[in-house]
Amino acid sequence: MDKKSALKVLIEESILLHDGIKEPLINKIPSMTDEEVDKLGTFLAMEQKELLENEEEIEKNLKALLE
Amino acid sequence: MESESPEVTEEQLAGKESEALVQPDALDVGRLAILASLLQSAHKDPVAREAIYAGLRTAINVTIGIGDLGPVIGALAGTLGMPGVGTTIGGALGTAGEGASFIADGWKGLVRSVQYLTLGKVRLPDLTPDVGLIEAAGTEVFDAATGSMLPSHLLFEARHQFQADKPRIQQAWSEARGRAATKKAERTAAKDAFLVGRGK
Repeated sequence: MDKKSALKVLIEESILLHDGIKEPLINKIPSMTDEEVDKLGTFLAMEQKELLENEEEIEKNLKALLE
Repeated sequence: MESESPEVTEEQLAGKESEALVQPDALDVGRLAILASLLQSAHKDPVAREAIYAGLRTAINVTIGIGDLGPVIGALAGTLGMPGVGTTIGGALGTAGEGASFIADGWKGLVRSVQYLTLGKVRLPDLTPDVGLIEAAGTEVFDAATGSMLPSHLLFEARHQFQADKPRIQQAWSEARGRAATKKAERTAAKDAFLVGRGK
């Protein structure tokens, strides 16, 4: 997966970013420099890493919250 | 050497403690944010949205149905030598269940009338959208005939509605599982595009 496509996925899947800014950010990707893509991509990749690694824990906590 | 820091009185300390007590737990706020985000994304998907409504309808209908069982519980408790339990719990449950069932039928009448008058343009929420008005109101005859001993809402409307909602819930569940697996692979690939090779 190339970095610009990966960044699009990471923006869509982010829970830190507000929905209102996701679309403008995605539209901005084609005009972003490699450095900008790398910066934002790394930040969102760290978020995704946390979410993927703690998915079970998050799910468990959500269930506890809903019960 | 004397300390120059201002003295903190006991009252101020007590104030700080109570302030700390009312601070929301950061972890809980985080969990709520995740839950809100998940529900928000589920709400955008028409299949998931329909399943959420179907699940809520089922929960409310079952609750009304349990109330509908009140007179039976009361009679059973009376037969078992617990008349007090029968009249209090059974009576309260029965009244609430009957009332809710009656209100649900009346509401259905309003929903269908509004739908008819606006040529289907306005659709108010309905607890049993797959149950016809005639079935909903007609089954009340069984209540009258049996002295409310027959839990008509549970046996007819709730059961009929659940039969219609069950495939919706199952479809959304199986689609959500399939989508989650695909999404997880996509998220992992996207994350790896930036982190693999960086030792993170």
